[in-house]
Amino acid sequence: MKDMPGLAPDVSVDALATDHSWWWILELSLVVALMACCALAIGFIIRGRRASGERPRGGLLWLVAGVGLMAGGGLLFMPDTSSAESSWITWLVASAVFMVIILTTAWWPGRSAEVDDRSNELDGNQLTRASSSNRQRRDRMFHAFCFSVTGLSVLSLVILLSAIGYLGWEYLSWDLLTSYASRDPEKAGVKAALWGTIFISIVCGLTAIPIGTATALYLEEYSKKGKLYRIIDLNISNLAGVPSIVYGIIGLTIFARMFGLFGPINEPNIQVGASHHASYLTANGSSVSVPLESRDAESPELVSGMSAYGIEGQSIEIKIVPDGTESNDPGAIWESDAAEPVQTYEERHWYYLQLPFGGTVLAGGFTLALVVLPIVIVASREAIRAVPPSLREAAMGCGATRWQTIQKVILPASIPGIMTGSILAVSRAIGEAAPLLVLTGILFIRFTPEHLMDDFTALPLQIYNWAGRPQEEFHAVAASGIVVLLFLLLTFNAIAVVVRQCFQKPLQ
Amino acid sequence: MGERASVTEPDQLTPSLIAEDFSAWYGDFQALHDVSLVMNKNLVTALIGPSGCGKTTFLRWINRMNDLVPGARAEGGLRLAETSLLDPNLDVVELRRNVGMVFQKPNPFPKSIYDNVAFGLRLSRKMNRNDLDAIVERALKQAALWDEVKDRLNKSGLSLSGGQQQRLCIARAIACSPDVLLMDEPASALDPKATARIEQLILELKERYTIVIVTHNMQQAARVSDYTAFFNTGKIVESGPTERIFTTPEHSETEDYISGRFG
Repeated sequence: MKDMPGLAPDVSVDALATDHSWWWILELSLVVALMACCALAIGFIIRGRRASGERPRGGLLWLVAGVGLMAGGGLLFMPDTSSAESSWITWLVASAVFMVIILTTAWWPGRSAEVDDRSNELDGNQLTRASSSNRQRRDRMFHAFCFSVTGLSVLSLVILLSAIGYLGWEYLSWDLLTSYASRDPEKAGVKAALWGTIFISIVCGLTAIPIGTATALYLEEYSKKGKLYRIIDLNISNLAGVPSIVYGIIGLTIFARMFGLFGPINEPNIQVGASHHASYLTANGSSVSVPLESRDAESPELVSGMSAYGIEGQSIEIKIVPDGTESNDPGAIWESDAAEPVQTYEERHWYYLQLPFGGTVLAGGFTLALVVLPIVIVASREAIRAVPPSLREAAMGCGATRWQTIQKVILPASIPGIMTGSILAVSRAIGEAAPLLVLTGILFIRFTPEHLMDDFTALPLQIYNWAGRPQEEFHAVAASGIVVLLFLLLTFNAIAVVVRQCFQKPLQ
Repeated sequence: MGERASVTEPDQLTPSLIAEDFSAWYGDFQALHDVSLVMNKNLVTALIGPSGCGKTTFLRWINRMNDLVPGARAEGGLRLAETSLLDPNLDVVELRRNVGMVFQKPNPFPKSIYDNVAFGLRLSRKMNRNDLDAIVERALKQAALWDEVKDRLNKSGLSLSGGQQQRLCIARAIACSPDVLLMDEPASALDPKATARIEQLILELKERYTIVIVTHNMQQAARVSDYTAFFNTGKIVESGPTERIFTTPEHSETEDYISGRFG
């Protein structure tokens, strides 16, 4: 393990940013971690063989296997470096480092080896010694296996995170959070994506948590454990395993398009909170607007004395003047311009709603709610099941109805578990890209959502977009976006911990 | 220890709970066979018998807690005063308010001592704080817990010792002023000292309530009860005044069980 940094100079970290695509550092990290753990495991196995005093052939066999594995593992690095010369050096260094790991693990003086040696000398009874050392050897092997597996996951995570941190460091600043997406990597930021993610995760949480909790309560408290229960139970377990992109397609059909029942997305049949306007050119080159009844209403022909409003919303009285008249009066409009508006437009209030939803914040939040609903239900059921049955009996025995039992005893006792599970589920939703990709595609958005029917983009989508661009610089921006996303997730997980702590205190 | 003066004057007895040819099933398994028993007002009736003999089943039918068990059903007669307890239209919520229950393991809610006692009262109606305070105090006094907790009514019910928790559960049950108090091995999870407190409490409480107690402890049954019913394999083998059951049992089975030769 300690020899690991020896690899670093050879793979030339400095070259990463300027070399070709830097994603291979992630592959490299994983391979390094995997190989290091294999090396450790083999080392421990040989150590076990040695210590148990078996025929050295067994140990040698493992050693040969280790050498072969390491040579093969070293080969994995070859395509990753450009010139043939350096790839040979890489291979040599990698294999050597892994061999060092194996040998040090196997022959490092340690407690278990000494103890075993001594027991070999003291114990005259061959039978006892053989059987006990066999068991002990297996114990050590399993210990080594568990250690390697744990080490593998932790090591991969550490390497991944540090690689991301290293690459994203350059663009990580406050500006990243306060700027919109841009063609210039220096100016690009995640503001729209961050707010989009916050919006959809709030919608997702507010939808998934109540529905999930209610479902869990129904299943655990009300439902008879019959056929229907088993069908629902089975379905929920299956839903948890459905790939999230499938939920994206469901969301697109049900929420975004609503089966086409309410017309196309851009011309929704049902709208609430939208006002329509027609705008006309004025003589001074500005424009004025008049309200329209509906999207399809005829735009009126302006006449003198009508009231309209200007760009800033100020009230203006219209005065029709002949074409070509120069005027500073904001209400002056040439005759020819009064007949037809230059455009009609729609103003949407903060409470704007439409059917179908389209690829909007609400549709995105609902779709993510579908993705995490099974997880919320499972977590809530676990939490509800953990409430001791004796409390239920106590409440019922006092003359409480089912609802009173749930409201006064079961929910207060299970809310920490429900909240923790739900927050973790929502934090999974935050990281989802696939369903949103189906729903909205990649959008270049330079505004934050103002209502539930606004277009949005989310952090994973933004990262996906940046990472797919040909320019190197955007890959670094993507890395910094990942850092923001990770930070957001860690914040959510921290909130989950705090919630658990806060709710549990009064109960104990 | 027990005062059994009333037992000797049968004409003073008022039947409170009456079971006539009462049978109960869990699915296909018949747990009780034609049980007939009269439980009198202001007396303690002890149900004894080996594990699985149906005494807890019987107890849990009295306040219809068995409604919560899937597949549980019963036939025959089971009445609380004039009310048939097996009536499908019976308001079980109201019934459970009239029939308090204390469970084997102390199970206070993870709430304050005060809220625990007030739990049942708050379920049915809004009460003003003064009335509630008075009832909580009375219930805790009846449960002989008031002096120990009066300064910390806002502390969690779970902060009390096991014996105190069980008395808190008794206070919770009697706060609703039930007619009947059912106790399912109320002292089996407690140490001898706490058990003595509970037994003393039972003797005090029988002044006000009809008490039915399930117990595995023969000495306890002898100490606290006026009437005893011995259950075995879902049937009542023998029932009668405790003194008689324990001194001159009619059935050899009863004698064997009481003297510890079986069960």
